[in-house]
Amino acid sequence: MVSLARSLIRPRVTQIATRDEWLMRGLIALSALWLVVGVVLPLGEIAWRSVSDESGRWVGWANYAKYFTTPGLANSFSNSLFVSVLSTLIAVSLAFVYAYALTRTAMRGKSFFRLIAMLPIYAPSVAHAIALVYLFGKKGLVTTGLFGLLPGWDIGLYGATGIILGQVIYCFPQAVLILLVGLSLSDARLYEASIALRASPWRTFTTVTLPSVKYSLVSAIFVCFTLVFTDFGVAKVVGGNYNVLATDIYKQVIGQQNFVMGTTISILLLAPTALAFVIDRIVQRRQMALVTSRAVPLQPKRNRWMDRAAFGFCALIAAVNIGLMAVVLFASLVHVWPYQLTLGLRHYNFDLVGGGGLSAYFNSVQMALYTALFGTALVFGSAYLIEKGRGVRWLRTATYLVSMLPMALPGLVIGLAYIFFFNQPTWTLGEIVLPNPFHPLYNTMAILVISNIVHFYTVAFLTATAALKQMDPEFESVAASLHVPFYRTLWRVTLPVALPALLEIAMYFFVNAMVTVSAVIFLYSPEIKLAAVAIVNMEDAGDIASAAAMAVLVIATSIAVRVLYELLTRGIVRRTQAWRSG
Amino acid sequence: MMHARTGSPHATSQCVFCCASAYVEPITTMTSQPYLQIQNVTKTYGRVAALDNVSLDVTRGEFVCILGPSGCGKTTLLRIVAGLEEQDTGRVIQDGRDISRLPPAQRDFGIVFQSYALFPNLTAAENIAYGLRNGRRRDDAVKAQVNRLLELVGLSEFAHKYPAQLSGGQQQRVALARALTLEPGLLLLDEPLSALDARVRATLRSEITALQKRLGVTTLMVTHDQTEALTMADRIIVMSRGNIEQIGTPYQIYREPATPFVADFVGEMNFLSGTVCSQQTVLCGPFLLNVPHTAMPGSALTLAIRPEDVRVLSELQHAPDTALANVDAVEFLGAHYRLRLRVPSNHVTPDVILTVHLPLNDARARSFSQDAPLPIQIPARHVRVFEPR
Repeated sequence: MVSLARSLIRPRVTQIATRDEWLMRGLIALSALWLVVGVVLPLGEIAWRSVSDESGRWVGWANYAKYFTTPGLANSFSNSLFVSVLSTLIAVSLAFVYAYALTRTAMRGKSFFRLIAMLPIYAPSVAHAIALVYLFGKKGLVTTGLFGLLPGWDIGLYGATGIILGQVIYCFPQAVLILLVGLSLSDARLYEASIALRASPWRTFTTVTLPSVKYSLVSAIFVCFTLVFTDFGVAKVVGGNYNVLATDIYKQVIGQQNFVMGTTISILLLAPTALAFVIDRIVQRRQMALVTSRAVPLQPKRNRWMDRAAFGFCALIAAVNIGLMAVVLFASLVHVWPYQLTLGLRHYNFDLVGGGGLSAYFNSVQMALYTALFGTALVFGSAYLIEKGRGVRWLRTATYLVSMLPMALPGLVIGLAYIFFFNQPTWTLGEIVLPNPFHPLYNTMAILVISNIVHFYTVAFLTATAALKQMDPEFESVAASLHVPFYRTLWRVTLPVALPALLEIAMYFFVNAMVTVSAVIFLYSPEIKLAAVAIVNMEDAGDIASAAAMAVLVIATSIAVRVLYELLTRGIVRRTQAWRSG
Repeated sequence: MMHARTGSPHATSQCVFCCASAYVEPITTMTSQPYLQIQNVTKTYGRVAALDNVSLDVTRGEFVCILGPSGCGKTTLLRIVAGLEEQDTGRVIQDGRDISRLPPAQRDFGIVFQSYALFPNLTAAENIAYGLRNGRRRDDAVKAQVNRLLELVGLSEFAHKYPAQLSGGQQQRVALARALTLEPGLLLLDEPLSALDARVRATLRSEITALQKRLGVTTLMVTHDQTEALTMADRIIVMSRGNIEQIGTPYQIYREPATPFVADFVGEMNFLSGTVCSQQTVLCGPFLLNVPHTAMPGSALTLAIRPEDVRVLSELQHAPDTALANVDAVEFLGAHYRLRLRVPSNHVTPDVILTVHLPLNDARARSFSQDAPLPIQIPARHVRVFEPR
C-alpha cells in the first residue's frame, strides 16, 4: 500500500527516444497517414455524399428513402441478398466436400485436384460469365444441343440462374482455400479416442470433425457472401433484367451520371459486407487453439467406396473448371460463333474493336506489376512497424485496426469513393478553400495502383503479420543489446526470413490486380484502359469473341505469374533449406 | 497453500541487511559501490502489480539468480534492467550511471533468451559477429574475435553451421557467445536452460558458472528452477507476486528460509501447526519442541522441517521430541525412500502428517513395513518457526 501511494507521487519513467526510434515513429506515422488518405478520407467522403444532395447540402436519409421507394431500385437489394445467400450456400457446400476429399480421404490425384480447384482465381469473374453464355446462352452449346446434334436444353441463363451459376464458380476456390486450412489442422488422437469409444462415423464427424472446422466454415461463408454480394462482372454479363446492387451502382454512375444515388447504393452495398466482416471477426476471436503443438496429424485411411466417391466428385468439379476455361479459349478462337466454327487468332487482333486492345492488356500488366511491387513494400513495411515497432502503441493499434477495414470494402465502393476524393480540385472547410494535394493523381496510373493496393490490402497485411509473428519477438531485443539499429536487422534477418511470404503477397497482388474490375472501372481514364475492363466493355458492345480473347490473355498471364512464383519459391526453399525448417 | 507476504516490509529489511552488511563471498571482490542497483522499481499492468517497489543490489562480478514461480515478476524485472520494458517508477543504476531512461541500445548488457533468438539465416559465426560488424571494425579483427568466442564456448568446428543444424545445447552456447561479443558489463540470462533436456542442462549449468567466473562478468539470471538457482548463483533472490521474499546465499535460502513461501518453493518442506506452551516450547501433536519464538502462550504458529531433517530412530526413546509414527506410504526414489508418516495424536489435536526422506544407506539396515510403527525424532535445531503476523 505504501509503495502504491509512493508510485502515485513519483513521475512515471519514460525512456529517452533515440534517433532510430524517432525514425521508426516517423515511419509509423507515415503508414498511418497512408491509410488515412487511402481509406479513411475517401470512405468518409462517400458516407457524407450519401446523406447530401448534388450541391452538397445535408439531406439526411432522403436519398435512402428515395432509393427504397423507387420500384426499379428497391428490388435489387433483396435480389442481391437472394443470389448471395444461395450462391454462398452452394459454393461452400461444394467446397467443403471438395476440401474434405482432399484432406481426409486417400483418393488419388490430390495435388492435381488441388491445383485445378484454384483455376477460377486466375480469371476475371466476367470470363466465367462469358463461358456460361457460350454454354447456356441463346446460341450456347448446351442450349442448342451442340448446334442441333442433340436435343437442346435451355436453362434460362439470364437472370438469377446465371448469376448464381457464375458466382458459385467464382467464389468456389476461395472457399476451398479457407476450408483446406481448417481441415488440414487435425488431431489424429481425437479420432482414435472417438473410435475407442465406439462412436459411429457420423457421430465422429459431427462431434470431432465439424467442431474443428467450425471457424473456417464461418470464414468461408462470410468471404463468399461478400464476394458475391459485391461482384459486378457476372451480374453484368448474365444478369439480364435481374437487377442487383452492384450493377445498379454502375448504371447510376456510368449510365445516368447520378452520383448521389450511386453513393447511396454504395453504402447499402457496404452495410451487409461490413456486418459480415464484424461478425466474422467476433467469431474468430473466440477461436482457441484446438490443435496443440502436440497434435498428431491425421493420416487418411484407405476406404474403397469413400475414395471412389471422393474421386468422382472432385473429377466432376475439376472437369467443370477446366471445361469453362476451355470454352473461353474455344470462344476466342472460333471465327463466327455459331455459324463459322473454324479456328484462328483473328480475335486476338483487337484493332477492329473498342476497349483499348493490346495496349489495355499491357497497361494491366504494368498496373499489376506496380501493385505487386509497391503493395508488397507498403503492406510489409506497415505490418513490420506495427508488429515490431516500439512506442506509440496507440498509433500502432489504430493503424492495425484501419488495416482490417479494406476487407469489408467492396471494390465498387472504393472506386466511387476515389472519384469523389481525388477528383475534387479543392477542399472546402467552412470558409477556407484549400487545394486538394491528391488531385493530380486523378486519371493517372497511380490512382489505379493505389485503389488496387487498398482493395486487396487486408489479406496481404494479414499474411505479412502472420509471417512476422512467426519470428522470434526477441530478435529486435538481441539486436538492440548489440547496438545494431533496427533497419539493419530488418535487412539482414527479417526480410530474408520472410522472403516466401513477400513473394506470396506480391503474387496475390499481381493476380488480383490483373483480374479485378470493380474498383478500377470507375477510375480508368481514356488514356489508360485496362484489360479486365476491356472485357466488360467489349462484351457490352457485343464483341464477345474479342472479350473472350482478352480473357484468355489475362488468364494466361495470371497463371504464368503463378508458375513463376512456384519456381521462385522452390528455388529459395532449396537454396536456404540449410536454415529453413519446412 | 503457501502464504506469500503481501506487503514487503520483510523484503526491504532483508535487502538492507544483505547489501549493507559486509556480505562476503570468497570469489567476489567487494567494491564500495554495488555494480547494479535497482531502487524502488514498480511496474503495473492495468491494475495488476507485476513489481511492487522492488529494490536490490548486485556486486561487481557476482552471479545473482532471481528465482520464483511463473508470474512473480522476475522476467519483468530482468526486462526492465535491459530497458526492454519501462518501469512505472523507480531507478536502475549500473556502474554508477542512472540508466533508468536509456533505451536498450544505449545500455551496456548482453542477453540470452529462453528461445535463444538466434538469427536462423545466419551461421553460428555470423550470429556471433552480428554486433561486431556494426562499429567499422576491421574484418580480420572481427574474425579473430569471433574465433576467440567460438573457442570460449567450445564450438570452433561448428562455426559455419546454421542454428537449425545445431543441437539445443550448442544453440544455447552460440547465444551465450553472441551475448558476450561486446564484452558487456552485465550479462542477463532469461531462463537460459529451460528449453534443454535434463542431462544437457546439468552440463551447461557448470559450464556457464565456470565461464562467468573466468570472465568475471556481473550476471543476473532469471529462473523458475530451484536446482539451477542453488547450484549456479552466488546469491539468490526469491520473488513472489511482484515482491522480493528473501535475498541470500543458496545455503541461506535453503536452510534458513525467511518466509513460508520460500520454505515451500525451494525444496520440499513439512509444515506443521503448533501451539505455544511457553517461551521456549511449542506443542505439535505429541511432540513438545524446544524452539525459541516470540509468540504469546496459547497462540498458534507454523513449524517447518525438511523431510531429510526428520530422524528415523532405531528404537523409541522417551524424549518429548520423539514419537511413534505409522507408515502410510513408501515410495522408492533410488537414492532414498520417501515415507509418508502419520503420527497419531491425542484426541485434542489432529494427527501429524510428515514426509520423510530416508537415505538408502540408512534404510538398508532397517526393516520398515506399513504395519510396524516407526520411532521418529523431530530435532528442534532444524525446525523453522513462522509466527503469524
